[in-house]
Amino acid sequence: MIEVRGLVKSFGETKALDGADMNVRNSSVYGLVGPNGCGKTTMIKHLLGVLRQDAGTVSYDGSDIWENASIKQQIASIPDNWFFFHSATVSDMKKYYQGFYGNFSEERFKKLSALFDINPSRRISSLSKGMKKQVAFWITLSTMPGYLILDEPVDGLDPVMRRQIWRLLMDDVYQRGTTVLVSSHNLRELEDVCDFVGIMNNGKIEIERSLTKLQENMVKIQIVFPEEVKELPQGIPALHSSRMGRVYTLIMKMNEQEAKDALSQYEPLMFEALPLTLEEIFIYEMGGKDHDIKDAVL
Amino acid sequence: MKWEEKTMTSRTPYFNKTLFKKNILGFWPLWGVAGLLGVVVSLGILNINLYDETRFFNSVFELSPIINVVLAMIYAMLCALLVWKYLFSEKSDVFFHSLPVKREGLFLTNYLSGFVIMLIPYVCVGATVVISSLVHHAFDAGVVLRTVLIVLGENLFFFSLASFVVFLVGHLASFIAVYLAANFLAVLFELVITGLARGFWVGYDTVYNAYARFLSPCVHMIAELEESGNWVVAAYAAVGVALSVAAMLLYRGRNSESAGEIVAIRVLRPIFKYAFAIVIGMLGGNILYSLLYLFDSDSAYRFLPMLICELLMGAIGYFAAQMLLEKTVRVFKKKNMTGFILVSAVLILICGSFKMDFFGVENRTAKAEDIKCIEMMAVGARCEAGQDDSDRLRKILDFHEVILENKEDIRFADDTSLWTLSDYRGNTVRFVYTLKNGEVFERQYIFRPGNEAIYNAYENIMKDTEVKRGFFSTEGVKITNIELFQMAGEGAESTYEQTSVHHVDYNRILNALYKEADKIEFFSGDDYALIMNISSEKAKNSDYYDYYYLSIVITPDMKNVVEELIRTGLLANENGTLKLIDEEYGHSQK
Repeated sequence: MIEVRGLVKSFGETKALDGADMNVRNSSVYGLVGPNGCGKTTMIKHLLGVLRQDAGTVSYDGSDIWENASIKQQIASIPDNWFFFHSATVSDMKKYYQGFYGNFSEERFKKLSALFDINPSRRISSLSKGMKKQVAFWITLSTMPGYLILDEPVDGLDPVMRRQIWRLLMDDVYQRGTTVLVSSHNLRELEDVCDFVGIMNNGKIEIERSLTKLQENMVKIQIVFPEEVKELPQGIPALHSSRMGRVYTLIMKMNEQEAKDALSQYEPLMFEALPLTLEEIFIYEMGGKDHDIKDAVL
Repeated sequence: MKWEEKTMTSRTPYFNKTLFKKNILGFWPLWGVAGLLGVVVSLGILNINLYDETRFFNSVFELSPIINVVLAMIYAMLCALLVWKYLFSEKSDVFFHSLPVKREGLFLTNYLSGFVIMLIPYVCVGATVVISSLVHHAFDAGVVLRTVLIVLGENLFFFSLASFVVFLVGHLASFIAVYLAANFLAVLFELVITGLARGFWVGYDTVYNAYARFLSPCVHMIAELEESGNWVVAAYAAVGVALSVAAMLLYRGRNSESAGEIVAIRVLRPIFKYAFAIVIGMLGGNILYSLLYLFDSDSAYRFLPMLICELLMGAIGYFAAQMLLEKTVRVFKKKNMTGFILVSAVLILICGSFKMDFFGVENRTAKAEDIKCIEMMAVGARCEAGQDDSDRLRKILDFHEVILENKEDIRFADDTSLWTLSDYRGNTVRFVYTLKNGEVFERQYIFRPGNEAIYNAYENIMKDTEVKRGFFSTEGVKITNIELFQMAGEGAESTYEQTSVHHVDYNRILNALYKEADKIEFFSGDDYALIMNISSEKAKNSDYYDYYYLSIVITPDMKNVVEELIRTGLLANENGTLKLIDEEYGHSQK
């Protein structure tokens, strides 16, 4: 289990992390989401043992990550901008990783070569962005990681390769018990793979729940009020409301039953509860946290 | 065994073979080119000297300190750059520090691989030279061992210094700049300070004291190797070990976010900013001033232009440092003005302290009772006075006082626009004080007939018999040659005869000169007379000599001197006219 407690990190006058707490259960997929500049990359660098925190702890199964080579043996990461040596071929980088990661599996590397149709003797710098990403997955997954930390992992990949990659990751989670932490702005994709979601804002994890609970805790209501109700009644605890004809769409931070109870006094002609997507949850959660979606005047 | 069943194997976190191998093999172009050049050059030198056994042997094993040290210094910078460059980019920094190796492991592996890369070319050159020496029977195991130790020591120091600098900075450009500064800045700065002293203080003529040379290792090592021998390399090797330990400690404390920063350690940033500003202010100010006054014949500095140059360059230095630290050109903010004012104040203080001579350097003489010995260099020769020659000492001190009282007359002595026609006959006087406490200081003054008070005092002291005797002291002085010139006629009609003597009893001639000092006149350059040139030397230390050259006019009334010269066979008195003769000791020519 990855546990982050009270993590604080400042860069000069900027506080990137401000007492962040995070819990990532083993053998699960954890989606780390948040607006730009909220501290996700800083959090990931702490999880990799690259940055040293000003305060707080980062531990894997109770062991601190800082300068802990044996824990790092189990961690593999693919940052948004994966590093490779300028003149290195795929094969060179593989050998390099092999020299550091005791668990590196030649067998798996060979098996994965069927999926990633790239000549190992090709120079990585000559590959396209998407192909570089494929090489990153190819080599990284061959290290047999116990923990996989990914930052915008499928950015640049074509839709077919995206599906292949996610499938590979899911297989690792279910078969090998790999713990995956993935930071991405592609919430639609995260929704399909995440067990847990952490929503980060202003250097803190604001909300951390299972995706199911997150969806249970917020509801989208489509409602039609009786004719005498001309405007949306005051006092309805809606995060957001919109109207199309007589149909109001309300986003309410409560479960379906609570929403029904709250609105029953207005004797609606129609009441329908719809589940929210992760993207909608993120938008409306952030909407209340000085992250309003502002109308742009063009 | 299937990959799914594989268990984790541990690798030592303190040294990584893969990284080591990758560094060595990956950077082959550097050590390959260096090794090849080394072998080609050394073979070339050996081939040139093949005909002479001694020269061949020397060329094989004699290390030139300048070439050797400078090459080691530059090569160490390149090697350190290659193995540590990952620290200068955020992307590579994140990659390396997320690998399962401790920072100590990364340090040790990179340090060792960098040091091995440094040594490979030396091994190539060494092998070539040893084989050549064996073939030509010039091999000496002791010399080889000494050479190996020197090379190891030098390279250990420079590579450790470069590695230490790497952890102070976070940017390639600042690494190169700080490394070069670490090797040369102290000497450069001292030269600037000495230059200011020479420019502002009348009489202060020291070009370089080497007080701060020990802070510029490259320069210091070359100088020490030339002056004191090889022991200095052992000391530097020890410093190298200390620096490598310090570098590792810095690495342990290094924050990855400093990758790309000009200064990696936060507390050093203000120090960098102010040091950079002051250095640029003083160095750049001096260069700017020199450019502005490029065609000015005068070597003395004018205060206001120099101050303006320093303030201008100081401002450039300060805001440039601020731009580098903040990574933006928008640094002209109110919050930065305090620092700018501080830098300007420091530069005004430094420049002002030279102008106002806060430390009393310009007016410095010494009390007669504190002086062990004073030397006055004039007319190309040296007049010495100690406590036993109190009268002469007092007169020299008084003359120095006259110069200081009238120093403003000669502050811009080189400024030819201030000269009169007669000023083209200028004089230089140098005083060397050796105090009883062992301290030595020197002053030198240039003055011309137009500087009346000083020139009159000079003429008076040069006519003083006691002072003139000081020029003919035999203590510690070795006469190397005496020449006689007979000059006659003017312009195209002018002729001269010359004769010189060696291996005679010079002391008899000097004693005669000493006795008749009251009759001596120093040759001023335009007398048509019989001239005697005396060349002498005085040992400064075991290796260096000061050389003097004194010209005096010989007249018939200098009976003792003439008698000695006749006795020596250089001169003949023909009916009261002195003539040069060409006898066994010398020759004459027309």
